[in-house]
Amino acid sequence: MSAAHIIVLILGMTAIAFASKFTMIAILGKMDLPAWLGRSLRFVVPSVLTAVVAPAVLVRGGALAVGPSNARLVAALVAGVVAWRTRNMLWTIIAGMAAIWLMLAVGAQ
Amino acid sequence: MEIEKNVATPQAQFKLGMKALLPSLAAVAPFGIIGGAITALALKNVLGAAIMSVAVFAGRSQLIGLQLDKDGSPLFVVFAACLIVNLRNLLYGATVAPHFKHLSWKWKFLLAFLLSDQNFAISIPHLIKESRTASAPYRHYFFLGGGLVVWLTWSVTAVLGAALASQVPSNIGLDFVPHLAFIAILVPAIKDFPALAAALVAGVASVALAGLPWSAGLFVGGVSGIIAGMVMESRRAKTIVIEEVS
Repeated sequence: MSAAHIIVLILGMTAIAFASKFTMIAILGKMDLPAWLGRSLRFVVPSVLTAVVAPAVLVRGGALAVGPSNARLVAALVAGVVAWRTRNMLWTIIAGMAAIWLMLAVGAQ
Repeated sequence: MEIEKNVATPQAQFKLGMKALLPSLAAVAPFGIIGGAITALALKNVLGAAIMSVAVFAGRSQLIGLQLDKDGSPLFVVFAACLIVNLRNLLYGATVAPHFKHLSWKWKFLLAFLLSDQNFAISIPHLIKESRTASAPYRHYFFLGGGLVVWLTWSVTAVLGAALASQVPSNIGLDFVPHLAFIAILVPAIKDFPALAAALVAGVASVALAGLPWSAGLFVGGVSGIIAGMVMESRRAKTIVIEEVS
């Protein structure tokens, strides 16, 4: 990745993260958050992260791939169970990577 | 020997805040290592990954943005996704704002930067409690102490993770690690039926629209999921009301 692109990413992400934290502290008393925005926030993580993960897991080479020959799908399911039982990111990643290596070793794609 | 410690000083509030946030190291440090490593692998640049982690200080949005960038999305899409993932900070900011009202802009800048999930969750009960005591004028030092603990932990471990990632061979299929990290964040967030509905709708829509340019499937899927969650929640609330009435 080019240095210019990295700098743009750093500046943009830093500005957005800071703006999201600073805005309400700065304009205190001049505006309330709309109620619907407050209610929507707890669905952002389940929705946006699933929308990132699901296509990466289920769509392989432009086509839907549901079955045991899809190594990423099996690894994601293993990781999902481990995340649910342990609530631990490190174990989730270790279990998921172990699953994907095992699946690739037995000939899955 | 003093029997009752006077906590109505900046130093005492600062120390209380640091102590209160120390247990969060257990959650922040592993995420720092993992986040720093994923960032270095995505940027293929250890220094860039270190600077990005220290400056952005919003790990989830950083990893989502990097994943979209790696998938070839244009910059406005990358930044829009970062913004959506960071929207919860508006709520946090609005909640802490009354406690920082009396401070200068310099302080507001600094404390806003140090706003994080952990610091917010631990500090807000303390800020509310102390607003009615002699410590009230110094209670932002609690937030400063706690915020520094989280930021320093995140920064040090992220730089460490970035340095470690450069030692890992690149051909062992680490492309999937960010998605596993996302699974580790998203599964505990599915606490009830409306959240499950949000995830299911987002998943189906994003897969169905996976071929669209500009990661449009991500946005349509994400927004559909959020709306589905809100609809299911309001239906459930109505059902509860009806049950109570009948």
